[in-house]
Amino acid sequence: MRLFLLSTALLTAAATVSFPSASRPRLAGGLSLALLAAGCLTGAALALFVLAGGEVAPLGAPWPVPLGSLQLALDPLSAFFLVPIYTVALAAGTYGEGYLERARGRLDASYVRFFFSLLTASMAVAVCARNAVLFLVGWEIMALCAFFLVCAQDRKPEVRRAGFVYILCTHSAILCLFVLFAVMGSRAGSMEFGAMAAALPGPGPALNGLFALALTGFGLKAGFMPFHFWLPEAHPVAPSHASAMLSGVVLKMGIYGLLRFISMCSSVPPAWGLVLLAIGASSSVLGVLFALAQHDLKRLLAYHSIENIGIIALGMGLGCLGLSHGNGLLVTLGFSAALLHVLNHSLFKSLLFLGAGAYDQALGGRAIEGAGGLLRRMPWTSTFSWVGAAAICGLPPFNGFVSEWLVYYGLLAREVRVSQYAMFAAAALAMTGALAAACFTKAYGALTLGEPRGPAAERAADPGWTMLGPMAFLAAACLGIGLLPRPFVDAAARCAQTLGRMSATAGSPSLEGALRPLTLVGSVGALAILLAGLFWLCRTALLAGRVVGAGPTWGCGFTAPTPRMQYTASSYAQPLARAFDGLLNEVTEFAPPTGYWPRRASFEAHTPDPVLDRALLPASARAEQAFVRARRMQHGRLQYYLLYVFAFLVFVLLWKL
Amino acid sequence: MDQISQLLLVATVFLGFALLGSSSMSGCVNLLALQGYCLSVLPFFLHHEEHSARAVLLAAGMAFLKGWLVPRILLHAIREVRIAREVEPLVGYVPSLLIGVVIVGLSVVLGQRLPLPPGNHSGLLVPISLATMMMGLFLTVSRLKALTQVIGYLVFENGIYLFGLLVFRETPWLLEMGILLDVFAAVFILGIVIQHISRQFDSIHTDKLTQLKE
Repeated sequence: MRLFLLSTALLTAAATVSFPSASRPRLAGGLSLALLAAGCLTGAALALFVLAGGEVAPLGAPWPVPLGSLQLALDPLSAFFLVPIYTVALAAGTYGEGYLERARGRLDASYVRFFFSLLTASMAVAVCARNAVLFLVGWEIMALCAFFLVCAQDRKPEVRRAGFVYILCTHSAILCLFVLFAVMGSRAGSMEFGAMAAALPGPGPALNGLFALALTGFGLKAGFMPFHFWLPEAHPVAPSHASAMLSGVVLKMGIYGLLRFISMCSSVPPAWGLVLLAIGASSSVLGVLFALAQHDLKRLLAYHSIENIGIIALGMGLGCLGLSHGNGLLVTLGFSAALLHVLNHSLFKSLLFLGAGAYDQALGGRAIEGAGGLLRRMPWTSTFSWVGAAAICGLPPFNGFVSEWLVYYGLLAREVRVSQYAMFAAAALAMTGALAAACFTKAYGALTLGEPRGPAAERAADPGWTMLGPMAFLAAACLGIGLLPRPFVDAAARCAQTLGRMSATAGSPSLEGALRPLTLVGSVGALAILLAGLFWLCRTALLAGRVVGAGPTWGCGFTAPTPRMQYTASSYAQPLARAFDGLLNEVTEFAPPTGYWPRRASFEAHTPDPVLDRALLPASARAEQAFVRARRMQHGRLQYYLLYVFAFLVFVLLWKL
Repeated sequence: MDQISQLLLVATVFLGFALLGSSSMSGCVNLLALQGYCLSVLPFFLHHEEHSARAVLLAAGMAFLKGWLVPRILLHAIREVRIAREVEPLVGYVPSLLIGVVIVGLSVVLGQRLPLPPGNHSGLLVPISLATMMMGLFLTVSRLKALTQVIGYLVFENGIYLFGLLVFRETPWLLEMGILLDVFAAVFILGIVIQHISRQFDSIHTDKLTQLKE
């Protein structure tokens, strides 16, 4: 545990050096990066040690905060979440140096560095905390750091709006958690997690109420479907490496909290598993559908986070069903699928966000429609992003496939069938996969293929290796987990078994049945990619001695084609968007060309978020109107104020006498 | 003795009505002074009391402050700030009088229902003190100028004083002196405030204060 404290201290130091050394940017960047890397590597080494089966003595120290004490411990669950925290922080932090260098003048580097390092440290503390007060303090620091990162460019009105939505959501979440821990703590008479777990009520309305609180509080952070609305607002506007951290890791803290809560419950009603399955199915399908309708690359990725959180929820739902039916294999399958997807999503989503940041800086904007032809102009960024896109679609041989495979297996395999509803979830997951593939062919195709649609795309070029290196590292990690899933699945399974307190119940069932086909499918996928590479090599070899010319695409004989006549992302997605119009409610403004010599025509389509734009904002506008009406009472006239006092006095006298 | 005290009490209410209906600023101040004098002699007749030094002192203080000093300050203010002699009510004089009638009725009802400390006191004392308080509040609400609000405040304070007479014997006299001093200080401060309002806004209409809102 000393190592953990050392790592946290290093991360905090990385945060604190960023301000005093701000006058010398090169030194500041190097110093804080070195400290960040040292902290992350120390912490990651410790986490890997625990995951490999090592034991770490818990740490306890008194703390003057009321009810609080510095209780830190590392069990496999904590360690498993520490891995993505430190890995992504290291990759995104390194990338961030290059990113901040290129964004100089638009972003305050020391500000971003400070909150980035502090965010990493606070998450690590929250994950290891065994005292509710310490957990909440870590959680709140994390939420505030994320808020400041979201608001890094607070001169733009949309950034301020996003920050406002985010802080409202995160504080609603923490309010739920306060109530949750207060109730649990008052039952236990202590804020230690161990005492709380012992004092939890048995199955019944009280336990269900606590679960509902946990689901709301942690779900708001994780972005389950009805609570997802802050994600597409907040993630796009943060600096890209911070978005990677937010989407890749901060969301997972909600998952961690929920898993920690479930691990405290001695009995899990079957309804919880079904609720989680339903949330997972709706989050994944709706998340990917709304992603399909976006034109802003980072907003699209944010909706994909909702989808992947849905997949994680499906895994957790399976695990809960396994717990309530006493099916050890299902517990292991479900929770290890969820945990592995946590790790996988944090890798490929941060990879995609880092790629999106590179595109963003090259294009000067996040709109997909203005890009095109970037595969030739930014080959490395595009290659790494391709890996991320393939992984997020769940294609073998990348890591997304492994965890989705485990979820499928848990939903469909005969020996773990406990609920017929799992079928629906499997169907939803299949549809999600298909739509995700459609969505990423759209985004990736519009960005990288074809011809540039604007001057910015024309001039785009790859960033330096400070930014490409971390992307390469994350891409290699995605491929590595996909090709050699065994150790990672084993670590996740060990975690899942501690979650379900399995050592007693079923003697740790093995996932052999689920893993056997995995290697085969993975190698087939790898073979397909190798084959494609081989063909490409053959092509290069055959074309070696010849002159290769590039001509315009044949445009049906039209004599003046322009790059604007390519398929756009919206037109690519339009058939699907129309098919799901009942869910998406896309708003289009279309001024068609008229006459023989049309002057001006326009088409615009955007998809408002169903919760934020269609429900919450109108509701709050109406509430505001009501308050404005009440505000007429406050008009500054002394006489009327006195009249209020007078009327109130007479009323009280008449009422009480 | 009882007749005299009741006469004085009724005179207080009538003076209140006169204040509600009066249109001249200095007339209001004079009526206020008269009410002050009425109240200052009231303790002698109310409690069938030996004319203790304390009662005399209180009455003298009351008469000096409310009958003489405060009205002098107010009249001085009217002259100095060159306030128009008109009261300028928000509620007209006749409606004000009608509201005054309602107030008196309401306070009779309330006075009967109000639990009081035991002791023989005139049945009119509580309703009239309530009525005076409410009239004072109504004056502050319904009159526009800061000075009339001061008058309303003083009428309100007279009502409180009447109520205090109920527990005259139990109240230490230092407290009563303190209350009197408070009133004096309040009027003094209000006088200064009026000066400032008039200098700032070229008027002492309190509705000009809405400019200060936010």
